[in-house]
Amino acid sequence: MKDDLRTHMHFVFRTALFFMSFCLLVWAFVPQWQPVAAGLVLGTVISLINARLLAYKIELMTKHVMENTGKRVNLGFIARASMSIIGVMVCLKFEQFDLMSAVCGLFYVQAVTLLKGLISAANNNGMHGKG
Amino acid sequence: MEYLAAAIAVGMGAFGAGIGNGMIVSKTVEGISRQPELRGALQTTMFIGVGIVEVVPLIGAVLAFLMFFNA
Repeated sequence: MKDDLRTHMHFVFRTALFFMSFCLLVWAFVPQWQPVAAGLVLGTVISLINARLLAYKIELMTKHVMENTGKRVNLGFIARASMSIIGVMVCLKFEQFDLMSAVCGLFYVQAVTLLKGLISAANNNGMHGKG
Repeated sequence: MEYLAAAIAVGMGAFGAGIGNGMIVSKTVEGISRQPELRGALQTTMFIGVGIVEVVPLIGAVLAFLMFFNA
């Protein structure tokens, strides 16, 4: 299925790995940008963990709805906020990581998701317009 | 004063995100119950919605942490 959540997560993970490899190249070849690249990689890793946790919770919730078990599932915001704060604490503790870069990297998955959603919405509108 | 700012940042962000997430989840559950064959598309839409809604309280939590410890 085109809109499957797993397909979307694979796309996000693939782009994130490309982005992190680019950051690794920057970290290796541009010494004055090392903290920025390290902070971006740290934030992106935490963002990917958060996205995987959210996808797992959504799949769990859908399973309970489909099976009509009546169990309550929360989306685990506290766990994701705690992961983000751990990343910020690492940046404050170690000066090898730039804080602002890590905070920007925390929203990598959301940025990619939003861009992909906008692009697919524009494509769908174009297809409907042609049809 | 920093404590008050941190509390307002977390509290207001969580308040808005709570309302938004509640609406997203309720409509998704309703949609899946009505049309179970569309659950893949609904899951993806929910992931996009929840992910974007939760950016605000995450920023609030990080800002509150920084304010709380006066970094």
